Amino acid sequence: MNPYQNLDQRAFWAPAVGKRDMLEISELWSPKFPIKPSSKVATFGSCFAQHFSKALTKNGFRWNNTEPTPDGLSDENALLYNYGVFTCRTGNIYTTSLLLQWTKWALGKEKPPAEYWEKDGRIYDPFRPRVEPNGFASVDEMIASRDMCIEAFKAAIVDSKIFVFTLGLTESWINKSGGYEYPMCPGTVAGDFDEKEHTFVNQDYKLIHKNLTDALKLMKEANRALRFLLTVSPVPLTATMSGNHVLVATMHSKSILRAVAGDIATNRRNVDYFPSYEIISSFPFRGEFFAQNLRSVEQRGVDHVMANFFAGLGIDVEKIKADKAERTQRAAKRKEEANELVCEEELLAAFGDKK
Amino acid sequence: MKIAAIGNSHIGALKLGWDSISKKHKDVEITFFAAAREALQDMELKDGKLVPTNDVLARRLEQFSNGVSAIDPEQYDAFFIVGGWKIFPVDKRTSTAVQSTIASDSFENTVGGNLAKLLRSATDKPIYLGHNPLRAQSKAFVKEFKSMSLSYAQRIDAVQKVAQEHSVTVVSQPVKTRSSEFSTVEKYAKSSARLRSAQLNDVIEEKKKRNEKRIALGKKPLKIANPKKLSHGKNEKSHMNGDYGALYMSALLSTMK
Repeated sequence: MNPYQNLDQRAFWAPAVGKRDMLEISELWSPKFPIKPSSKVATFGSCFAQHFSKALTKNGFRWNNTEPTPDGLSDENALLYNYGVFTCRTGNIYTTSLLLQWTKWALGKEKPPAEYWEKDGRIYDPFRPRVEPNGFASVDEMIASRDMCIEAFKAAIVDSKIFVFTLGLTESWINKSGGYEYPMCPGTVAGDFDEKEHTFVNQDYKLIHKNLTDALKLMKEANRALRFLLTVSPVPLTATMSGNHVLVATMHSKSILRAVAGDIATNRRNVDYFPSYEIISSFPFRGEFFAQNLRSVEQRGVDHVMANFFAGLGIDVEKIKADKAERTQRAAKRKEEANELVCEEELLAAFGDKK
Repeated sequence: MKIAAIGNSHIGALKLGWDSISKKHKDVEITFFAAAREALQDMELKDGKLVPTNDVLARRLEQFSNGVSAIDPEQYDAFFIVGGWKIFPVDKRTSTAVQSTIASDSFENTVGGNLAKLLRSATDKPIYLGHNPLRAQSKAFVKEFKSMSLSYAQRIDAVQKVAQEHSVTVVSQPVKTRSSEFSTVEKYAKSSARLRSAQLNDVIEEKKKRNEKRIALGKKPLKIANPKKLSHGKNEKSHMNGDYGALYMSALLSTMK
């Protein structure tokens, strides 16, 4: 008799992985707490987080969109201006220190710096440099837009049930004198790089762990009921400043992020870890879900990740989708009929039935 | 002056308004072309005339315009298109780039704007374009949002800039009918009591049938509202009445002159 004898198959490599087709590797995640279709879910983080929001919405879950697309803006233009990508228009929050920075701004613990970037007569937000494709018309406009986003970020914290955060990078760019962080190196999208003012920091385990812990603590203080779901982005680094080969730097960064997320999830009841990183990046999947550039994740990879997510929740997605589609169709039909009747009625009342 | 007024259901209020003031404007003759909702998107240009592309729309147009379904630009001095696009409240903190894009989308990607462009391709005569009425809103709603919204004039001006490229004049909703930068005075909203009553009766009848089955299955019956306790038309905030139409048509004719 030994303790392994009582374990189920998922604990053993051969039956759980080695002898299975990769798409049949299952039971990768047992959620710590329920996430119901009715639970309001906020999604932030590295670019992979946006797949979560899309999948949640598509599958009938309640994605919390606290900075919705303004009425009248077409879907195409909404995407161009980064509406509906994350819960609000923060752009990518790559590091845990950036998450802490946004959280402090949202909860009034700190004020955003006055810095702005200028390029070709347009103003760019150093903390969301890509949120407006051609920048802002003025500094005041940039600040007003960012204030709106900070307000929406606060709403995401206080008005959500689940906060999904995807950890993306360890490499970061810091303003030395101000002590604040940029999501992108100054001079890449806009702004000017100044080596006296801008410094590169490849964050270590301890710092990443502390920043994430502090951010979660602040959010928890603002919303006692909030629960967190951490994931790690499987998307490799575009470039590294670490001095290492980009492949080595990628593995270094992702390993640290994975360890931090795992440790925090293990030690906190209100934090869970979802293994999207493993599903895409681990070797049993043979890189099959990556595009030809070996960086972008293909849609079928995203679909497989999300299928595992919904399977873990024990939710029959197809049934939810079918129910939602039926409800939506019924409601749309009712609305259509009512509108049609109302509109026809208006015309008949004004013109009479001149047949 | 002969005017072709073309629009969706919102033209109904304008027609009622016109009926009440037309005697004062004996030099003006208006022919109304109406089809509900987005049906007018199915118009095309054929032999210099705007014609429906399907029989359903043709019948709709004939029904409301004394049997005419084709709009011949040669027959009129000016054109007025109403509806088929909205002027939404816009948070003034949104960037000017987003605001301009909303204005552009309001003209370029809507039934009203497309109809204006189609007409412009057939004639050089004046074309005026009015939006769906602003929704009627309660005082409490207006109070809550009034400090956030971009002014009505700013939003209209932004659309006008886009429409100008097609030599189309955007018509503002008369000041007197507006209770705020984004709403219509409640007294101008129409209550469609007849229709709502009919719809309500349908819902009640359906629930009664479902309850018969539920009771047979031993299930608790669904609650059925007392129609007498429901205020008919209370939620009809989109369509306006003849008083609104009279004010609108007077303002429109002033603009045209």
